[in-house]
Amino acid sequence: MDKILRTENLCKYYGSGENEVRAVQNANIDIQKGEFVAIVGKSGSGKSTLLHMLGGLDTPTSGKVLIRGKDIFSYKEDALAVFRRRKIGFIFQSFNLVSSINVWENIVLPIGLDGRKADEAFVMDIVKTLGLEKKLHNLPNTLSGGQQQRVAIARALASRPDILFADEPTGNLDSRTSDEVIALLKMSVEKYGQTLVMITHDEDIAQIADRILVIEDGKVEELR
Amino acid sequence: MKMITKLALSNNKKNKTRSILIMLSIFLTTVLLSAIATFGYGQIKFQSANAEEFYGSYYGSYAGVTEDQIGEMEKRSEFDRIGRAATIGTIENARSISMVWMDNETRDLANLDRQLQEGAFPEQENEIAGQKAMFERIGYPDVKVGDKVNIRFRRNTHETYQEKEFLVSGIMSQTVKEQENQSYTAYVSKACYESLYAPEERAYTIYFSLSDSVDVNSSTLEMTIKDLAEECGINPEYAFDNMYYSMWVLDPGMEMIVGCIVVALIVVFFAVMVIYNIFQVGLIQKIQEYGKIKALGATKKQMKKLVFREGMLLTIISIPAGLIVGTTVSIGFMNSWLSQSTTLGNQDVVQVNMVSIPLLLLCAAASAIAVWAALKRPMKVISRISPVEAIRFQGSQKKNKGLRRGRKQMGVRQLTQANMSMNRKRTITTIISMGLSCVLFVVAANFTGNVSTRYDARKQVPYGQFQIDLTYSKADTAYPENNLDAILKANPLDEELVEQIRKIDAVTDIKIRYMMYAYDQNGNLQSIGVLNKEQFDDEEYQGSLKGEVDYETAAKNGDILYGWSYFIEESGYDLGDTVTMTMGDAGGEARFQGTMTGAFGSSNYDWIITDEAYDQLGLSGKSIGTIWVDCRPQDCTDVQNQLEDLLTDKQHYEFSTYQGALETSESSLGMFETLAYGFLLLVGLIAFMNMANTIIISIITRKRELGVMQALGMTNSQMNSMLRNEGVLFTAGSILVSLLVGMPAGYALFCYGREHGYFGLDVYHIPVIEIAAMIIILTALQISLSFILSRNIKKESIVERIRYQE
Repeated sequence: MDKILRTENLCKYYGSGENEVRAVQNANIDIQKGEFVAIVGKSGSGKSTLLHMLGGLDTPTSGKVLIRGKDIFSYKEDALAVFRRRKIGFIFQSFNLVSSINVWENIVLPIGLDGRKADEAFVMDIVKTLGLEKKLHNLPNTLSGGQQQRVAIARALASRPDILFADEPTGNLDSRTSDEVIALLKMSVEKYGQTLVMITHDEDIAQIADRILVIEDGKVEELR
Repeated sequence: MKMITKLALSNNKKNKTRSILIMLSIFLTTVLLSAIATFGYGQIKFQSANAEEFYGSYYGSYAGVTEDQIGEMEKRSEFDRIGRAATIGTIENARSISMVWMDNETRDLANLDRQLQEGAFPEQENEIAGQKAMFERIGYPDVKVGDKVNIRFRRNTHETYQEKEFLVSGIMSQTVKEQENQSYTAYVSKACYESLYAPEERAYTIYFSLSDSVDVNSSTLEMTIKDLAEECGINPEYAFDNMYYSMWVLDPGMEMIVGCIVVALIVVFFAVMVIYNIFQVGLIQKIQEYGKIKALGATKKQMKKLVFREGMLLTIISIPAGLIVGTTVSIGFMNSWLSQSTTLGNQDVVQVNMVSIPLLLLCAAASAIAVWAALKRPMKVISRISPVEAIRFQGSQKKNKGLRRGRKQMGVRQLTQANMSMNRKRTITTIISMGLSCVLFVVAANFTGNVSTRYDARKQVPYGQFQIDLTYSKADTAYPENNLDAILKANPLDEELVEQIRKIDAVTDIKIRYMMYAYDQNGNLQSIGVLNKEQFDDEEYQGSLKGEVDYETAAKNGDILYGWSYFIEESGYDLGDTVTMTMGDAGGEARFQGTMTGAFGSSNYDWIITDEAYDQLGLSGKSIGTIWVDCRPQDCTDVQNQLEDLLTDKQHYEFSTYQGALETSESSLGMFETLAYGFLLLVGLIAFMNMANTIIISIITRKRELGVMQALGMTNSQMNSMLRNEGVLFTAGSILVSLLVGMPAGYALFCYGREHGYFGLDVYHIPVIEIAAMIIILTALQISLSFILSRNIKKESIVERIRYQE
């Protein structure tokens, strides 16, 4: 199968000496194209740190992250930013929409930052898939949590990235909305042939993933 | 209680940027206030301590008083001391040198004795005293007490000069006024006066002081002495009050006090605005923190106290520091002014202690009150906020319908626009508040920018480096050859001279102005300026015009204009009247008839016609009234020597240099300029504090959003350009506001200043350089600030920023 993401002895340590915290230790992960991988772990187990490193937001203490065989930390800062907006989509727990622009503008922002024109038909398709077509002119703070997260999903999908990272996407949502959002997320990932790596502490949500990785005290193990 | 102070202190420590900015603003405000107060106080004290020294102790003077009228004055109890003086005549010279006698009482009242450098005032009929420079002028360089000098003088312009031998009894120092006007005074004895004037010819100038029983202050003095003059049978027109003495001694420095208070109030107002803005903007981001404290059980009163103490703690260091710096600056300035000033340099002035502790305490209180006033609203906001609301508070979430039309495609530019219009109200209030703090700068610049030594000097010498003017008299019956008509017919400044000047190597340009003489209806000699378009327009630019003043119209219709709008009645004509005169110059005489359509403010001539109107007179040769010679500044000495050589055998001219005019102007305006620009600088700094704060806060509060955008793939250069665009927009907006409000206000202030005769203010011109400097500095500061801030933000990783405030 097409290997899209691989890590080699990925480590992230904070502090030194007695205060050293080993957030991620020697993680070796392989993710294939089209896979839906859930990373589960308790609060403080290092799952967010791992995800941030996989997405190039945080730099590792040692080790490598290879996306399509390319070490992403070999890029310079600005080149990495360009790489991120072209190849990676993020979905955050707190949605992180830009408050001053409307739903549509939020969705096409990463494409705009790349200096490209958004493929309006494709974006509209995503919008319809996520049921946002009536909210396009709304500002983010007028939307419910679930709606905001759907906008965030649309934003992540719009630039046709190689891989999607979701950091507890349902952490700020109630359980019903949460199920709804996860269903939509899984459905659109499948529809657009996306690879998804999702952090969650919710066992039920993890169950719908193709693979589950468990992280405990910085050590990553395959659960399934 | 102690807990709250501790909390306030740690809050201040945490919000370091805000604290530093506020401390700087308070510091600068206090510097300004204490500098103004100390300077004003020092001036008032200094002037009243030295008023008698500078201005004499007489209350006023009456001119043209007869012996009988003096008798009347002596009978009245209102007069305390009465001194006599009289003008004997003028000494023959190109400069005006008057010959006067003053009795002991007058010399004492006018404080003249301090000008005596050596020797004594004349007692004997043949004694004379005067300045060294004066003796030099009349051909006695290096004169000493006891020297014999021959002096040609006459009593008035209707008499011929007589020569008399005098013995020099004393040498006097020169006052600045005399130096500037290049006018001199020679003092002779009473015996000399009485020998030259028969008893019935004698008329005195009386210097007097009033007794304490007369209740006067500086505003009633003039009326009082005029009333007294009338009662003694003296023409009140000839009564003059000793304005400066009354101003400083009778009621000390009201004008200075009012001026200082007004400026101080303006400073306080702007300080309040800036500090308020810094607090207000800073609070929005900290509102959650305050909510937590409230949730933990702080009462409304305690919340108010907390904010209050946060503000007041910041004054602890900045107010005393400001007082010290402000006072030091003021004293330093005053000392350098005293040592530079030629008015006072050679005299023993009474030094005064400029520091007034009560005044400084008042300044400190004013600064503290400014902080308190700025804190009032934030205190209210914080105390009223409910804990739940505060904890949930996520920045200013105004639900303005919640819709936005938006754009199909997004980019950095659209993002900036969206951000601005999203926070439209905040953007506008910020721009206005930043603009208003620049307003003070623009207003002050309108004032100071128009006080220009170079401009002042250019009024004396409008073109080039040198100016050669004809000098003439208009009513010398004894020596008619000194009158304008005779001089112009002889034409001393002729085209030949111009050609010779042109041949001087270093001379780059020459300009010429022609003039004529004329006899008016009453046969009085008048001077006529013949102006070409450029000169006409320049004269017009000086302002204070009356009627219609336009070169094209005047040239086409052959109109005539009066030279002094203020004295237009003295022309004997009204606007629109037809003026008929015989005009003449080196080319002969001709009859002129034209309409008086207007008047210039203050030209050098009685009347002005255009060069085209002159041509219509059909005369054969023009007479030059003024020659201007230009050269490169480094060639000045050389050119000046050659010009002086060319002029040695000429008469009836006056030679002046631009450099000389500039020096005179600098000595009188320099200190005012330094003062004004110092003020401008401090005001500019305060305005920038406000701006810096706004930019810093606007970036800090969006730290997280910026982080998100970077996570989504915004590059550093894109972020930089976004922040820069925002800053530029803020700057441009502020500059626009400051100009829209500041220019009219500044112009009004300028007009007020001109009307009240503040020095150096004459013609309004937009202070382009100052405003350009402000724009450049603000833009540069703003760009470097966004640059530093975005670098500062980058110090934190994206992950940290995304988590910020979560």
